[in-house]
Amino acid sequence: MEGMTYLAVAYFGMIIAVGLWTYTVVQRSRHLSERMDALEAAVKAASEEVVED
Amino acid sequence: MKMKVGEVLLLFGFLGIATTMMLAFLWAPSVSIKAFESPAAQRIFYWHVPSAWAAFIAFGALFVGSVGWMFKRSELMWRIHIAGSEAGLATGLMTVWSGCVWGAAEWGTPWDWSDVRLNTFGLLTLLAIYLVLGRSSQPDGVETRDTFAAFGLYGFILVPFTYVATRIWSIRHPGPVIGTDDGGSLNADMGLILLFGTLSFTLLIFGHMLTSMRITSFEQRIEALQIQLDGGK
Amino acid sequence: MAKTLLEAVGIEVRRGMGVVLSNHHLKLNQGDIMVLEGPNGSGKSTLIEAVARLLPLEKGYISHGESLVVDHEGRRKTSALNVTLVLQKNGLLGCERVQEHLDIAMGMTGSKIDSTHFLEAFSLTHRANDNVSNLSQGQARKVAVLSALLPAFASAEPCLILMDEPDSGLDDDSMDALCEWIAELHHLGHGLLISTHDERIKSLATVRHHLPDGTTSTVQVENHQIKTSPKRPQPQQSQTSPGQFGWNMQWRTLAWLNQNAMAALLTLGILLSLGELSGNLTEMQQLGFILAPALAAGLCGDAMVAMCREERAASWWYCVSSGTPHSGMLPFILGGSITLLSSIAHTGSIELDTMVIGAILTGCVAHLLRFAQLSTERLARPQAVFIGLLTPVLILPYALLLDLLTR
Repeated sequence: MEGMTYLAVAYFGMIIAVGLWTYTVVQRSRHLSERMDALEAAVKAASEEVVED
Repeated sequence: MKMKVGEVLLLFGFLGIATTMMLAFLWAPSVSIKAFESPAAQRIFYWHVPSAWAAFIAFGALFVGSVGWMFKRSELMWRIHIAGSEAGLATGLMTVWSGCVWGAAEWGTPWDWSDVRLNTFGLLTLLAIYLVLGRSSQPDGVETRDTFAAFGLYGFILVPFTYVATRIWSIRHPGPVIGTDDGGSLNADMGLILLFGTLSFTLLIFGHMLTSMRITSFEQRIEALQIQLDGGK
Repeated sequence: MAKTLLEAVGIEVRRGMGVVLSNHHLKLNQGDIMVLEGPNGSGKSTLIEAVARLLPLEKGYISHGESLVVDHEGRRKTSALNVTLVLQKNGLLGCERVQEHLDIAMGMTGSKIDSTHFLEAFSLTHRANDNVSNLSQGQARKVAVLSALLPAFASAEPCLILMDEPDSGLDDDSMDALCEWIAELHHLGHGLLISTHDERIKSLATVRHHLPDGTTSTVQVENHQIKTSPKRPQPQQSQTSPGQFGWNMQWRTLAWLNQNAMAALLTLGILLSLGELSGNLTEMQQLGFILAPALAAGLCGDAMVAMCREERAASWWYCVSSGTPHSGMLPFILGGSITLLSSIAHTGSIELDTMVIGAILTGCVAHLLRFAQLSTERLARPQAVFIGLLTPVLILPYALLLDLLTR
């Protein structure tokens, strides 16, 4: 493969990989944040039920 | 959704890296065809050197986190250990991969078992894979943390070894381009792109570590909430 | 005044994400039968494992007799006492024989008694020379219990006997025998620490220790009718070292053949299939080819590590003998032999110096791998970690060794 083409492919592959990694980490953080909020709401609801009883 | 500090750093870091790549491709001066087998592939070093720098930051964090957990039993330090190992894995792979790309073009082989620096860096990356995969295979607990923190400490011995390896066993790997007695071998434009790349990678790696620490704290909080819902304390 | 056999001072033990024992104190004297009481999860097993030196302490220290054996700073010393142990797991390998295991356990005290009477009482006489793997769960439990009791009966010195639910899986007759032996050991002046939910064993207690609060109460002891077990003293018996045991088990199971030797032979076979190529190699490459099977054999580690995870045999060994079974010299012999074979196959000649290098290479690599494998033993699932990922760390020293030898 010609030098610059080889370099372009290598760079492109690496930047895509870093982009994917970054995107995955951010998505995971947001997903867990939502899950945590839902669980906190569930715990709060459960404790309110206990108080009412 | 409001962006967190880690996410802002990630965004700027990523954009900076993309810009560095573009500059490396379109603006960086060419090197002498006499000095290199593959002058075009030499441009990979605008990726390789900053990612190696970021990897050292990550492995440094891994060391600090491991020591902190071992001696202080600090939750924060354990989060730093996790963030360091994950960031070390990613940046280690980037460095090794870019090194292989360059090696294939310049040496004619992507890997040279006789090159000490290449191998020790590969080992650091393997250690990071071991820590990340090993931890995911175990339930969280003091036993898991102690064991992997100990491996984190063993692995850190490789970091200074890797740094000095090129000076002691300079078989094929190029010597340091910065921090040398003769002032280095870079011209101003090359140095500027390298500096920009290094800053970008630094932002990206700190962004990743902050986000990773946030993820770990979420996981711990979720586990505690689940135990609470199970009827535990 | 009765001598103190065991003392735990202000110990804190963590397991998983929780603190199981906190600022816990315990003292066991000669002749005490201390029963640990408490609901499931209150820390009874954790306490037994901690005093057996199997768990690290976050705070406090533990002494056996007058000497400190483990503290929160990570110091661990061999116990000066004869310590015997039954964990919830039996601590037996499937390939061990019943009588052999009992002899090894007694050997730790340096003396021995005839075990016939004990085997009869537990209906195990006909199984004395059988492999543990052929026993039922209950029978294997009886062997584990005997391996904690017989050394104490054989020993002239007071022993520290640690038993975690020894009653589990035992039938009524065996329980009667067990209770008699416990009372007899108390009478002989040994100290027993027993975790149990069984009322018959609880009724023997001279001291009750309640968990998780750590309160201790002394019990007014009824005068039990002690039937003395017939004991015929035997000559002094030498202690089986973990290395000897490992060597014996390796030869009995041929685990080394399956694990290390096959890797070496496969490597040799693959390299020999490149026969045409090997004629054109440099001296360093040729040596690399000759020694590669020895390296492959070493990289497979020590089969004893995986074997001893069965029924927590490694923990039992560590407690009673302060070492865990290992293959000892076997990797060195294997490395030397495989290098001899490799040398003949590649060069047609016998090179003694290369053979010695091969022996050292396999031995050192296998024991290093063993060290790495043992580093993960505290994990909940040690078999699930990716220790193989760390093995390439040895390739570089191998390359440097070849470079050095052919310079």
